[in-house]
Amino acid sequence: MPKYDFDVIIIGGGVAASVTAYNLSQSKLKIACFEQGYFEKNSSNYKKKKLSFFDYKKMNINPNLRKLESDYLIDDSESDISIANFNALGGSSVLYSAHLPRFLPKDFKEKISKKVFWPITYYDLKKYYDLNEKILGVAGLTGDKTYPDKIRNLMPPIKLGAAIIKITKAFDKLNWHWWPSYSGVVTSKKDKRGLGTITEPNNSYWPMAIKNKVKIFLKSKVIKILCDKNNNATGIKYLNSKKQIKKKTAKIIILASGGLGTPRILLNSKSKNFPNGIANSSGMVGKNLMLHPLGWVEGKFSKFLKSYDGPQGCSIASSQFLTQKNKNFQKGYLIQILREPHPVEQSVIKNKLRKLNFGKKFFDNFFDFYGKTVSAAIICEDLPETKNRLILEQFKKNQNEIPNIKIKYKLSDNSKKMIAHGIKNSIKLMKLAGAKDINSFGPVKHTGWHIMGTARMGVNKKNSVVNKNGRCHDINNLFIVDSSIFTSSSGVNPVSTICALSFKISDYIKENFYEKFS
Amino acid sequence: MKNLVNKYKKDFDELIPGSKSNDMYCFSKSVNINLFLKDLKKIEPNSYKIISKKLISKKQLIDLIGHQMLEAYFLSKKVLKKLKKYEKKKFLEKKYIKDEIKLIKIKKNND
Repeated sequence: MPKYDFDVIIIGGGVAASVTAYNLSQSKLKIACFEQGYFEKNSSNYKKKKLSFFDYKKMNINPNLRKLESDYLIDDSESDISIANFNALGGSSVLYSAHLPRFLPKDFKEKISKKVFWPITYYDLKKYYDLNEKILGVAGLTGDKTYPDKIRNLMPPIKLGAAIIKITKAFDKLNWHWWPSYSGVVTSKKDKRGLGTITEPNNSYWPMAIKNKVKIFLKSKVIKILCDKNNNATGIKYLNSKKQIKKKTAKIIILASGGLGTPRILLNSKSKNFPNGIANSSGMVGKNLMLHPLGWVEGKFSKFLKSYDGPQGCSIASSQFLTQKNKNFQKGYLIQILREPHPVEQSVIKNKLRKLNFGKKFFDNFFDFYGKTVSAAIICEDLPETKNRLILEQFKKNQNEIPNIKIKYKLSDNSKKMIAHGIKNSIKLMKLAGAKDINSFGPVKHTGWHIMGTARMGVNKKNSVVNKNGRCHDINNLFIVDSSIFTSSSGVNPVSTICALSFKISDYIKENFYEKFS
Repeated sequence: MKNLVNKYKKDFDELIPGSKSNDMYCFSKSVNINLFLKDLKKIEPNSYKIISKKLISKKQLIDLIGHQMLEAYFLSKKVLKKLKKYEKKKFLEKKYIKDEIKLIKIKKNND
């Protein structure tokens, strides 16, 4: 029996990795996590958003502009949507809006085609959704009829504020569903993190995993997964913080590098036995990229309503058109009501739109919109299409011996129809709420936050990468826990579902480790 | 750097001028221009190189570093303090808190 450095190696340090590390750390397993980024101290806590100009610039959502050492370039010149992410411990949650709804039961039930469907149901994940809401900390209101069961582990709902109240009244007049957001924001005085703190892996799962002796290797970029002649994963090759190439071995390897990072490593792990990358006998690794196309409607009210007060992405949301069938398009969309962004972001947006001009009228322009705007984001369910994919830039190997990636993503006609429908309805909503000046556009280019489907789950080895336990069809001891395994995308933020899936898969590993992998 | 600060201070203040009627500071009273240019050198070396080589016009300044100026201005603690003051003057919080409590109560009972 060969000697291994660890029982389990987790590749990645984001949301999925944090849940997996925490859950596995409750057993006696020796666990290591390899994260290419660093520990970012600037949390997304909206109340503490007092960054210096320099710190603010390094938090850019676009990796091609941010260009930190932990980033890799993403060529999006052939994509209708560009990627937004963050590479650090905590992953993109370092910048997230903390909107944490669950997927709906129908998202798992409805088949994509005869042969493509989720091999699990909402009810398989239910107890893990409950657990995540308790541990991560989610604020909200029990009783939302979007879900068949009562979601109970919630802190009190977040404060709505004057502007959002106006929007709720318009929803009621239209008889459309709305509900206070499921928000990753501390609203309970009992929570030691403090009122208003954004709940994220870096203040929940990671501290507990570290206390349970999970070893974290920061600034360590995994280049490839190593396999033996029997097609078992044996370990990883990585570039450490001193830029030395190193190897570590483990009995189980878990990929948690997100919808781009995971296929990037799989495709780069080519060998004689796996000429197209590992776990890729189906040819599906990197394909079926889903990104949640987004439409945008902003309404400006005549009165100052302090509409920026509170977390931008968490106020109320409507599943009216997520659950209602429409004859013009498949699936549906969520209307997420957004507060006005912090003036540092809003001023740049308004300047681009020529509504905030430099010079004598600067403050007249500024106070014309400040505290008066509310937006509706139309978040569309994206359908998996094999033509939407990422590829490795083979001829542009970077210094880390792992190629950068190129995204090939075109918006489907279905998504275009959905965006148009959502914009029309959101304009109606804003008018009824009393907004005087309404602007809309879509798809919004820089919104590729939710990266899903690039190593999807299924029962059929020919059209999917992992089975219902997150285990790769081709490699027995290789698991994937992040959003790349999503079979469909729903129309809601994926973080809760990533957490629930990570819990489920890591439970399977815990229960079967000594029998099947030791 | 000191020369560069002197070169652009007037232009920066004309682009974001103080406003008595709105009770807001101009750029140089809110942002440490020296520090701003130092950060700019690290973050946008190409833009910094251009502005430090020769004096460019206000229009060119807007195109080149307009967004960075806005970000630095609205990150300034002094500016955020002023905005807080504006908020207190303009907004009647209590009126809406009552509305909200009522609304959530109805929602909880109906659904």
